[in-house]
Amino acid sequence: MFTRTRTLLFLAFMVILSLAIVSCGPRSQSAGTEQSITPDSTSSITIVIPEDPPSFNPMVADTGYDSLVMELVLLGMADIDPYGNVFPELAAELPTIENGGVVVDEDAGTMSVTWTMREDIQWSDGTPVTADDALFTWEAITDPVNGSWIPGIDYVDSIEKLSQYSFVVNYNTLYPNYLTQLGGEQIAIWPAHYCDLEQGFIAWDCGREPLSDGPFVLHDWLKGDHMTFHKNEKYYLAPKPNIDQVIVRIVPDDAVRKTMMLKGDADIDMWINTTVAKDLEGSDVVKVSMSPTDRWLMRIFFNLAQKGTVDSSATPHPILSDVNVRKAIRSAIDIDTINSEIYFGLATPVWSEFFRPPYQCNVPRPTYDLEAAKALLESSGWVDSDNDGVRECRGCSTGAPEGYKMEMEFITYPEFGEPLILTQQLIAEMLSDIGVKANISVVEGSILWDQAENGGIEQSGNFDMDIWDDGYPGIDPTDYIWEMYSQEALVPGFGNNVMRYNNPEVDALIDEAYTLDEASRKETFCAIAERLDEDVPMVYLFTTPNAEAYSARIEGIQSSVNDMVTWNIADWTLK
Amino acid sequence: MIPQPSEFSIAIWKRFTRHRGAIIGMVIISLIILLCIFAFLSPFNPEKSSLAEKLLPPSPAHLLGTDALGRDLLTRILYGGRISLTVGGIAVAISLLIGVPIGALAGYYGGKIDSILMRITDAFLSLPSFLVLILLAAILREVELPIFQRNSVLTISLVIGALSWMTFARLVRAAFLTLREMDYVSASRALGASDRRIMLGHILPNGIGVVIVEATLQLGYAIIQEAGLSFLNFGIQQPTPSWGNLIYAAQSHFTKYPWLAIFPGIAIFLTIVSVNYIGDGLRDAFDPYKVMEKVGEWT
Repeated sequence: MFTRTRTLLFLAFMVILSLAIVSCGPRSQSAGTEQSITPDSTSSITIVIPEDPPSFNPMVADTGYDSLVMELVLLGMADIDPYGNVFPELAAELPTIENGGVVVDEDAGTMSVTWTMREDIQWSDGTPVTADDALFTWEAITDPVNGSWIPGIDYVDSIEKLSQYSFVVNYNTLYPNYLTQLGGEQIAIWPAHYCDLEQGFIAWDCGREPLSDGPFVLHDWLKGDHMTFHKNEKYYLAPKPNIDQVIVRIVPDDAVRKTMMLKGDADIDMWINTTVAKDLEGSDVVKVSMSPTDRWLMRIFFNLAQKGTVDSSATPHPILSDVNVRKAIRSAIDIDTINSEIYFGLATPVWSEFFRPPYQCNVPRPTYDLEAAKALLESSGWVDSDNDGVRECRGCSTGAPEGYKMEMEFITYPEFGEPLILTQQLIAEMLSDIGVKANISVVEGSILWDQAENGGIEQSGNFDMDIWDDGYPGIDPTDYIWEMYSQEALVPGFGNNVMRYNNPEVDALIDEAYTLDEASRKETFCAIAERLDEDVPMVYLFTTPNAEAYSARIEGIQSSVNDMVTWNIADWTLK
Repeated sequence: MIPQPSEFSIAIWKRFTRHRGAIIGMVIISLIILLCIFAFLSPFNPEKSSLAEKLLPPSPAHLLGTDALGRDLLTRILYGGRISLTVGGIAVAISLLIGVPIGALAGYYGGKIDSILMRITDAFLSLPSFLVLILLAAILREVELPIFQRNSVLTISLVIGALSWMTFARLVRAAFLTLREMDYVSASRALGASDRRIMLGHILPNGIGVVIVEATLQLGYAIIQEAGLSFLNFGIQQPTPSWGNLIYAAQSHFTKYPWLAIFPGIAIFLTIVSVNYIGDGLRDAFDPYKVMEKVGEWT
């Protein structure tokens, strides 16, 4: 006992001594850092995010935080506002058929798009931004060794320079999403004279120390702590931006971020969940901006192939390859209860991939019906013959052995926050009511969505069911639908058809969607929606609002699902 | 005069009971274990939500309140205790199974065997254990094996046990190094006893005291490790409660509903303090000089 007492006394002494040293000693490096990032004028704002952006190039990791900072320093040819309107950035005007920027060869089914760039934009070192930069960016993206995949990349035959400020993109098909192929939330034009092509698009240094043609320039970046941006004096819309300095602070804990917002230590907390949004209701110092449309559709992905395999035809899933099972699961989920109890009614029930304007399809809403769900399972040969609460295969059609238990893993990712964790638990409980045992797993998104060669769970087919939110960027769903549902995209690493869904009819419809005829596209998308509603490769649940918390002293913020909240940061003002 | 086994055990017990902290710890841990065993008597299902009762403060209906899905917190803490204590127990058993044979072989044979086994032990000791724990948990989470399923009790126990055996190995080796030189060991060897018989039948029983003491301390350590892993989301998954994942789930509610974190925290605290005091008491009780002194008093 004496030893224990002495140890405690020693520890107490050491703690007091440490505190004394820290408080009386000279300023440490971190203290200095703290001092250096303290806003020194009223035209400074602080954005808090949970982790460092991997780089300024969203094509490397696409965490959203990279897009957030990309919007501060880099421009694309065009971008999209929160209402789905495309607007030019580097482009002098948007190329259309009407202004001659788009020329369609109906017979060949091809098109060419001519981009004319503004001549008054320059990099922060004074070099003009020209067509050479656009061509350099394309060359870097398409580099066979160090390049990357971007939507529509396979549809581009060539890019040719026409003049110092114009170039033409030749497509081998009619590509409806051409306006934001070199812009939007993911693609920026990179400086040819500054970036090293040899280093490669994904790895180059300029992705971490970019030269700016956007409203701000990167001043310093202390990893894990903060980034400081100063106003770009050469910004083409000068005297914008109206704010002199932006500090991006890394604060991993969402509760700490919320407290910082409430205490006035931070001005923007990006992507807050509904629990935080609810907590901030009624605050005088913090407001919440919600996007006018939703994007993030919460959904349950079914693996139609046997766990650990990627071919749903050769090795069908012993349970989920039966469409009636999938329909039964859909019928057993009470979305309205989840919405009211977990999302405070802020979520919107959704039952089709096509729920956003301008492509909204009138698919009938599936009903929540436990008895119908049970009947479907019974009719498919799944019965609880031993009365243990979990059904077994008794003559089921999936090829599962007799007595095979209806037990599956059910994965989600933790980064979304508590609402999704609770949603997962509640759904697992609802499934248990119809005799489906869902074993819950929570796995980091980086592992869940990683490439198959890195052990990515979805891409390698190592799952039964998982739940997360997804949605297409911008306003055109064509590429997204191809990536998600086409047969070509079920090959690991080649798309996101991790359900291994294979329907030739849907493939044909996706091909038909590649047209500039809007009426035809709407019809095609709705036909796809109907097939998906019949086949149920995934269960669509609800959308959650895209929300950002921001300080009441900032004006001009508008959350957007088409881009990060910083999409219009040059226009923001401080009260 | 050499004490008889019964006298020896009585001396240890007497010595143990004189350690007030150990007795209090024993009472508390027994109470916790009993409550966990009889958790099924609770009228509430630990995994079934009751959305109309979510986030209720402590009240006569729910003594420790309810969580974000309306589940009774006391019931979940008791069921969580089963998991946490089971993980602790299995992890210690795995540590013993690895550590004791390694220590015994190293201490008994010495020489090259000792050097090799102790260098392996040193190598494991040099690992930053919690980081490796997270790494191992993450790896095992991605590997689907028939027994070691993602985040199962067995997987978590294995991960913790596989990185906690080194202390046992070192303690047992030290005991064997001393005891192998004793006269009764030499006598056994002279009578033709096999190495296995000498190790298991003669040396190990005499060195078991330190192992038991260490086992109690390791139990507390393993519970903390499980709580840490679960807190970082590498441990037992919801809705199955464990003390660690209960605290993890309470994170986002700590300011508004602090009881969600405080009560599981108290359960961990009481358990760890109790097993530590029991360990303290056992160490004193097994101290040979004190035991001999006590036995001498009687004889």
